[in-house]
Amino acid sequence: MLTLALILHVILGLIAVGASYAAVMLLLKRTIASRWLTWSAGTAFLAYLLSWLTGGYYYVVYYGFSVKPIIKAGAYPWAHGVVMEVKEHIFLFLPVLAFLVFLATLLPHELETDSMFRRSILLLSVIVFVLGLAIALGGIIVSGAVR
Amino acid sequence: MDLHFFLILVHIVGTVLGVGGATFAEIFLLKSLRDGVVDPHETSTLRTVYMVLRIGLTLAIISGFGFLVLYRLEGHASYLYNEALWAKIVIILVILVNALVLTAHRVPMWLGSALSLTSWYAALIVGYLIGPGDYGFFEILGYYVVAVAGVAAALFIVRRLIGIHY
Amino acid sequence: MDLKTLLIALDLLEIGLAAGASTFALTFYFMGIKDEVIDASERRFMGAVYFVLRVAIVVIVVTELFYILYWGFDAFTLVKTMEVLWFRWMLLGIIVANALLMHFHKMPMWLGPALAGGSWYALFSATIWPDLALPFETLLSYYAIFVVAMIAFLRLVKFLYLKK
Repeated sequence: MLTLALILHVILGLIAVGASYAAVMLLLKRTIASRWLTWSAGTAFLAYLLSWLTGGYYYVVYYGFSVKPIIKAGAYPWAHGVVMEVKEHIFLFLPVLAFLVFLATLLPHELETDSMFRRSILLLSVIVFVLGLAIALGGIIVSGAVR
Repeated sequence: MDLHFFLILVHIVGTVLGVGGATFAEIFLLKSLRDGVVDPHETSTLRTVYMVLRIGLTLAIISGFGFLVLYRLEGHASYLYNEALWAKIVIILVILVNALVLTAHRVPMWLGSALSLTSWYAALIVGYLIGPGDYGFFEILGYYVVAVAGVAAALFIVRRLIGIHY
Repeated sequence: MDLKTLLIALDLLEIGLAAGASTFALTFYFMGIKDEVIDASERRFMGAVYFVLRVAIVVIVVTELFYILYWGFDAFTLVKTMEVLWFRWMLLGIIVANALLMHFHKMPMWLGPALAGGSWYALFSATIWPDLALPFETLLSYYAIFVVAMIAFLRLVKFLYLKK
């Protein structure tokens, strides 16, 4: 169950980052494929949410008691002290940002006609993607410290 | 068939599609721009190539992360701090970011093409040729930067020879 | 980076490129025959793909032969055993023979593309598979199964894409 939770956390996180990337790519095109954009943003939001839940389950049930002490006592205590703490805190608002992007994609006319609005949503999407990517890479660093 | 075997297969397919896609994207772009106009058929062909490239990238990244999870679960967490692995991750990030900035027309074509082409081949070489301890992170990236410059120069010469001016 | 490593890198690049090119050869072939006519534009793109494939074959054969004749098999880090090396060279032989037969229209189209694609993927896999050390007969069996699977897969693609 715990292994499944960890695997799902990673897979869902990957899907979320990939979908965020797709949303950024679609917003950069001259003409917006609004259906694809909505699907991408919606998938990203849902996947971030589910990754959050599975990661949270793993953290509360196992990581906190069994993995964290190993990391803190090992050669790379900063992997928890810095990287994991950053992951935890960024994830407080990342799904919210992803939801905002998704909401914006439900206004295709405004995205097509209002360039300021489109640029703002593009910037927000880029932030979501970059943060998601940073969290994914942070996960590799945390996992690598478990020895 | 165990998970490791399956991941290797998927990673192979992803790499093949990505390397081939990147190469033919460049070749077909050069062929298309030779007469100064990209006609509808050329656009359609390029779209197919880019789609194959994206499929390859997706497969390679998913299977790549699959390997990392497997290393973690099987007690080989030390692999996750391998310098060649992180160099490869940086190169993959370059591919991803490069695709975005190319779409946004924020990078000159000569650089974007060189980055795309070199990055795929570099990822292939770093992934399969370099074992732990062979080369350091900065050493690999140093070779990579030199390779990008070399490919950019080669593509510049090819474009000049066939009469394309970006 | 020394000459040995550079040649190995070149070999790996060419095999990866050729495997990718064979995928595109198949893709463009199906796109071309969808309207039952391969027009001049389609022929141009397919020509580029086949050119790359031919160059890749030559580079691979020359690189590997030179490497092994000059430094010996033990220095060839892409394979672990002689059996794997012979299997790879057998694949190269099949690829070349198949290409010639297809060029002279002596190879049936239900077999040629599957053999080409299957062989290139098998060659790439045999090159990069970590610690591959299976006996030649086992590799041959896996290869035969893979080619049959490719024939079936391409037949399915043809049926779904071309509705034939």
